Amino acid sequence: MYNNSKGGLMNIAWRPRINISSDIFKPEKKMFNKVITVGLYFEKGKDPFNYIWKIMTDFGYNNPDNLKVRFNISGERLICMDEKPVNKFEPLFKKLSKEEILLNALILGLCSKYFYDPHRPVIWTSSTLKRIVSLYDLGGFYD
Amino acid sequence: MINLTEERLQHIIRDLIHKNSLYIDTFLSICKIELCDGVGSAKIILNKNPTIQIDKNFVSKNCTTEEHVQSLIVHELLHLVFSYDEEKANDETDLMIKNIAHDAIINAFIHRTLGCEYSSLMSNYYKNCKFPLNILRPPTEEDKEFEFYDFWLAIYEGKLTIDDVKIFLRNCIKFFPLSAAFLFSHLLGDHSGNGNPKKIPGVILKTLNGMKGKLKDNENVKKHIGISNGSKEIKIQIIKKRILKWEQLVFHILSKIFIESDQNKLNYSGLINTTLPVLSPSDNKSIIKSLWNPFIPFSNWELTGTTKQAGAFVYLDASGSMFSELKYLVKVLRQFSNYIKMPFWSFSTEVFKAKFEKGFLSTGTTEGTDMNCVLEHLEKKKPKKALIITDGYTVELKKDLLKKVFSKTKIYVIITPCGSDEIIKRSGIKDIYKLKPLQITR
Repeated sequence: MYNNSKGGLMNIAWRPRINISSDIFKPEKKMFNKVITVGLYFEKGKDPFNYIWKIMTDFGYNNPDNLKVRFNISGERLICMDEKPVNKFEPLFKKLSKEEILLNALILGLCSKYFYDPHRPVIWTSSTLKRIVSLYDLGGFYD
Repeated sequence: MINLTEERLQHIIRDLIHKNSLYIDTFLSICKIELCDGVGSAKIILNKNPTIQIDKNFVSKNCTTEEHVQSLIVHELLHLVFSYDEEKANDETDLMIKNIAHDAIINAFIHRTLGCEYSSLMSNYYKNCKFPLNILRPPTEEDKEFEFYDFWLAIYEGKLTIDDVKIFLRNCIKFFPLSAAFLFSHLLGDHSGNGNPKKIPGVILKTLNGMKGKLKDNENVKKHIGISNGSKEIKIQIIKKRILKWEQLVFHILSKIFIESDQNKLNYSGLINTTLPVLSPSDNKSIIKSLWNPFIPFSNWELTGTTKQAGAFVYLDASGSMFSELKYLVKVLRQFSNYIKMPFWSFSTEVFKAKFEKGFLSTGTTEGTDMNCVLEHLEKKKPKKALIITDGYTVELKKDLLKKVFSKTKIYVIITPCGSDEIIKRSGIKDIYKLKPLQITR
């Protein structure tokens, strides 16, 4: 999409404003494959970090990085896109088992703003655990 | 309120490192993080094993989100970066002003670069504080009626530097009595002044310098510390109108520096214009005159030789804040170009050569102001006397540099009408002259 801001060509202050929008992540485009959508549901007033940490210790772990071995996390970097609005997707994650919760928390902890990187350390904060993200396979796009 | 554990703190720090929005990742990576009691809010210990101590009680009372904890750490780190190499305060009031000014600028920086999520820690913490502590939080709609609201807003919009805030506070703090004990118990972070560069290990100092260097590239920081990155060439047109009001003062000072003392005169090798009763091929008029004149006319000759020329060391402030007055100053200096060592110097955060060319003054500028570069230049060149023309809005002058320069050079300073002589006076320079305002008519 391309549109001009106010002002004509002779106006020195004229600057073209370029808006680029893309729908390459839509399934019908078949450009990148959606691998998974992950997220967690937290009841009101529940501290996400403490809740997940408790589940992890119940499983006998004291460091989230050790969970990578349990869930056999390996592989490539994936693109991650935030799914919004969160309220729409939250019900999907209401009935997860504790093991699934832990797996989702682990994946969320490995997601930065735009990438899921299995090689980076797990970061659990309230804001990372409250995200709902879809992961897309790049299919060697950057190789 | 947030229930902070060692593990959770590790994750908060990791998150901060990965965001790396303020180039603090290098320092954080080498820091040990401790959760303890009785620190106040947060403290950084700078020794071989740098440690960030965070007060558990403070966090449980004041931090509602993880962003608040991150904000506290960033505040403490920026405090360290901005003030570790600063001169020590002269007295208690100066120390209070310095700390408030630094805190205000740091909090404003956090507010603008990281957002309300982070600065809301300061908003809550200083919620019910009165002036001058209230300027440590972002202003709200309710504060619009406060008498210094414009000043407050200017800090958070990034229009003021640390020195601007210090000058303002110095002028008005006498009307708002504040005890140091009360202030330091209420300020966020550690204000015990552990940032003595002599005590900081070399590796840590290097990391801090690196952080400061990277932060200088950030537009928001540039504005605050009056330092700009990269220089550009500027050309200032020399106006035609004479400014007698200023010329008198400038001539008075220049005559003091150069006419009274022959020692400042330099041997100058160059072209000398003279007239001789010998025809010159370059003087066409005299050749024509010789056709009808029975006597051989005097002709203009350009000869090469050595002469003595006054070599005044003049430093003209060409920073962004001077642009409105620069064209008038350039005109005045042009009038006395015979007295000035050419090319003369202009400065901003670096010293540049300046010369008059075809009706213009061409020089360079970085747009910031730091007079310490002039002192460094004077220390190298060692002239007996030098004149600095500035508006006085500069970072504090380094005392050790001043000492070295004072032993060799007498410095005269001319302050422009819109300028301030506070920092110059504090530095110990006695010969300060202020130009009178001009009434320019178009």
